[in-house]
Amino acid sequence: MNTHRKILIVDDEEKLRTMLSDHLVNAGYTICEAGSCASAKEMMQRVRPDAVILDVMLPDGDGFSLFSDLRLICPDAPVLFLSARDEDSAKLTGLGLGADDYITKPFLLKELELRIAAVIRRVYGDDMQKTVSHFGTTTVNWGSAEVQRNDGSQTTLTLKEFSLLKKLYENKGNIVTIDALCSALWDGDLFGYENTLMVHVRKLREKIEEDPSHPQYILTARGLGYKMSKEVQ
Amino acid sequence: MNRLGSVLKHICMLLFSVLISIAICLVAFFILSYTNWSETSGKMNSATNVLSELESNGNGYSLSENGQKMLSEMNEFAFVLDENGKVIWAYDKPEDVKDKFTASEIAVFSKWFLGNYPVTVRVCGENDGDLLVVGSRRTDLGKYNLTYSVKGLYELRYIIPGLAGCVFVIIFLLSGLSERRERRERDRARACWIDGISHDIRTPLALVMGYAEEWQDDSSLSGEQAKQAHQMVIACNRVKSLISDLNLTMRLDYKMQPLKKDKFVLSAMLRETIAELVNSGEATDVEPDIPQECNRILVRADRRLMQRAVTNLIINAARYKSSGPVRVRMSEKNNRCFVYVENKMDRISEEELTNLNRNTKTRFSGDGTAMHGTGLQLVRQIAKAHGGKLVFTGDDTDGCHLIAALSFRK
Repeated sequence: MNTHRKILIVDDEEKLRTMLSDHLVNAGYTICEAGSCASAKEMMQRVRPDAVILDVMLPDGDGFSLFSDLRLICPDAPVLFLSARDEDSAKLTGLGLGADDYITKPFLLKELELRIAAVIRRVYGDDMQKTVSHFGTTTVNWGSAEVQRNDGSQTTLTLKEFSLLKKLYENKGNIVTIDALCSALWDGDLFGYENTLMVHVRKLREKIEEDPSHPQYILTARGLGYKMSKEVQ
Repeated sequence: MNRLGSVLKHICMLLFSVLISIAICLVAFFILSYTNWSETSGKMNSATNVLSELESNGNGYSLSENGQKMLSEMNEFAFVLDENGKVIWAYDKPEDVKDKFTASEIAVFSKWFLGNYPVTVRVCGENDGDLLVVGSRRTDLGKYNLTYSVKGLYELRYIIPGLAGCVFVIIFLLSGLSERRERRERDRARACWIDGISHDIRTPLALVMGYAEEWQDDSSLSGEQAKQAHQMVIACNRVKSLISDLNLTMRLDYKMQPLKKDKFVLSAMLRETIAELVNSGEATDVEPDIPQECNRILVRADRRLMQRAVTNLIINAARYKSSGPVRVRMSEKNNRCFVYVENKMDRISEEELTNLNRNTKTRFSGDGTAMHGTGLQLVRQIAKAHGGKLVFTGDDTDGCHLIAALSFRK
């Protein structure tokens, strides 16, 4: 899922670059690194990355200025600022310039990975279509929205069920609030949709889970929302 | 100690103002006295000098050459009146000056002016029966006569307190301005320092946090090691929160953080906050108790700051609870919203509650170490910025519960 993409990491802290690089390589990305503005520009020209993780403070300039130069070289590549400056003004400057996201150090690697995935998905579209996921013995084909069960039966997910499953899958292992789910499904506030959401979840469980009354993959976080189990492949 | 110091400082300023005022009054008094004395003494000296050069020869008077020279240099004139007020001798007397004066005229000019001429009068002649009058043609010469009343000097006692008050106010304002400038400089230096330290800590902390996170998910490590790595992640998150709290407290303190108020659904924000805390492992057992009807409550507040306040309350509750989950509730009343964060405790004494509700930056235990850091202080600041407050109460109805109630204007 988009993880074949090339990511350029620009940070003057070599150890941090190595850590990020190791983690993202494990996640399936191809990584190139730069420790200064000059090498970042040279790398952009040569490698043409699909996304950039950019530190704000660099030895030979600041990330905000570099951002404008990088935009000229690769106008479509999304940029995610990674900075030790957490002031609102710095964030607003970064996002105001047109950056796709801003993460403050220190950060959780998983969060960074999820946010990069989200940014890449937003820019390059979703290539989930090519993959399938396994919920135990049940298989979901993201391209056709078909669910293949162990007993040979086959059903198709409705649009809302598909969106619901996708949102939970993207945040696998984490609670997704009912508000975030409603926002993903109806692009609005929760009010008025709570019961409808519950109905969609129930129907989705009936299609995915072996025993919908004792779900193993789509779990309820009481009073908060739902969570997809990490076991999903 | 600081308050006592401030009182003493103001008492000293007041005393200093009184002393300054007394000094001003006395100096003014003596300057006036001196001016009066010197103004007249010049003339007096001139008249006295002329008198010493004036000779009485039985039939009249004559002035020595030295005396004449003196008068010419000073552009002055002189004449002598007999006991009937008639001019019996004169030197360079202007034409517009009469040759005979009445007693009342003499009484008037002896103190003030003769026509437009400032004059000084001395007694002369045998048996001091005549009057020497020395006049000046200079129009720029002032002449006045002040009579000081001793009683008037005593009147200063009414002026001095008023003047002291004015001086005190001036000194107070000046010292306030100066203190404000110093404080601003100090605050700026502190802000820069905290900002710099925070920045320098963030990158190494990112490294520790990142590797700890990798280890906690590393299947090749033992369960115990993974648990330790998880603890490291939690500790890093705490340090991260502390750094952010420090910066935010400082910005709110120094009015560097403008409120960005937006309308949002409070219950959604509470669920999001709890989910983030549970997802990151900072708090595991948190139970929201938000009825469905609360989902329609809209508030107008700085969402990010409110989220921070609730995060701090939940983390605080999770850290100090004895058992059971942390419960999060909400309600609204009279255009105000209330967020309650509740946790079970073994016991809560009145003293502990008082300490928690004391609105101080940091509470210290007996040995001087800080008991609560910036977390709760930040919640108070955020509540205050939204026209609200933070109140801790105890509830003994079903075990011992500590309830933090954060209220703010809708």
